Amino acid sequence: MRTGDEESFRQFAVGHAATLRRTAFLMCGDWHLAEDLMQTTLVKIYRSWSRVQKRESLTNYARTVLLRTWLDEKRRPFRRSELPGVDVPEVVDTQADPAAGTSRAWAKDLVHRALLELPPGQRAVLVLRYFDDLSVAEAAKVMRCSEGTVKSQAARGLDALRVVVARLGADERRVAS
Amino acid sequence: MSEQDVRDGLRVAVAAEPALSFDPDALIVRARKEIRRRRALVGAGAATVVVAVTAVAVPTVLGQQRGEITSVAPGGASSGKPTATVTAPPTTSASAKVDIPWPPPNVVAPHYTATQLKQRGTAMQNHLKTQFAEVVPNAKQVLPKQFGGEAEGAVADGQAYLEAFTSFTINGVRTAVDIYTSAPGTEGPPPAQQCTEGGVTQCDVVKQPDGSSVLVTTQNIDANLHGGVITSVLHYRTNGTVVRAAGYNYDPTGAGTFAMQPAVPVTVAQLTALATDPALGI
Repeated sequence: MRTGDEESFRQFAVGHAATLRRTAFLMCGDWHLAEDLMQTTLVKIYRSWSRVQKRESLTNYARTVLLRTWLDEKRRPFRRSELPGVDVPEVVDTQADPAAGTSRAWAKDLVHRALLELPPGQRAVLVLRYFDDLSVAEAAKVMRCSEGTVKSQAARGLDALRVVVARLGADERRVAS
Repeated sequence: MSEQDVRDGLRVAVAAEPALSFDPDALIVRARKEIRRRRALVGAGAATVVVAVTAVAVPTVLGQQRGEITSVAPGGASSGKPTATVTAPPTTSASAKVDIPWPPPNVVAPHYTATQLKQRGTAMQNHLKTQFAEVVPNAKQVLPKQFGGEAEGAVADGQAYLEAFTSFTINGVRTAVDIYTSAPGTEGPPPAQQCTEGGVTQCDVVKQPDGSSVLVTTQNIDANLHGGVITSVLHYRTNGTVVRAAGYNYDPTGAGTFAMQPAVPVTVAQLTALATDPALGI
């Protein structure tokens, strides 16, 4: 790779590493795996940098590579067997305001835990639409599917998320009482 | 719960993210190494490959042509037994051989309903109940599991693949073979990527007389499981279907007592017999 290309890749990688890792975490629920996915994604992009760097939306291209990398990981049998129903790790939140603790814990624990119970397609579309704030058309390009599929997956995903959140919330209230 | 609640929930979920110590230089070094490794694979010519071949119903011209192995093509009888081992002459390099244009052109991907996938999965599961012991005669207590997707038995409309483990005991140790098949016209496992995955120590392609290709890989998965090895045989069929049979030196289903074996207890020939079995595939 030419020096100029390498420098532009370096800038791209530094600028996108954190965002990609966050998106990966929301999809997989594990910060270590999210870091692996981010690194693998950037290595793949490096390999084709001279070809892809002129793309109109390099960020969305990176999201596509990340999504495919994650799906590939999920399909690996040793991943499937090692991480069945993996729990979301508990992270101490030192910034948490005790006064806002209830609502914060609700959102943190339930929405993401519920998300991790959804099928991969629905999970991905919800992250792309509601975390990365992509339009339906952009999400369709990232997922390489039709806009109709994005709409239906998002609708089904939201419905499923509400059901799981309600169930998890009821479970927690039952345990607390 | 509104869409805004979902947005807020996702934002809060990443609010306490651990610090990122990202080193772009280290990443570039890693990427360069991978590129060098790929090129080394392309240049690594004269490796002698011992190819174990399953002689199917038609014991055709084994090894008549340099580097080409016959008799494992789809369309043969489904009672393939490993009956022959052929030492192929030195083959061309691994990556050079991974010249499998995929997916093949002009193949239209079918849309399978969940019902169709269930039926197909059940047929394959029943087939394995009798066929697996034929292919792996020293396997005991063979238990083909239900074909599914993300979870055992779980299928959805439009799903383009099916996958299931077949558990069994061999040499007194429990393990499993994973059977994965993707639908025609879908990407399936990309051929070239199989050889560039981390830890891949063997990657060979055996062209079949019918134009299909068998890709054999051995992958060391130390990064995920210390000492873990996976041997995979992927059959890239002319109709656009891919069937992969993968063997492990441990029990990938995670059931029972964990025991790491010194080697993958099923042979390439046995995995080839499964991957090329015309009764398996969607």
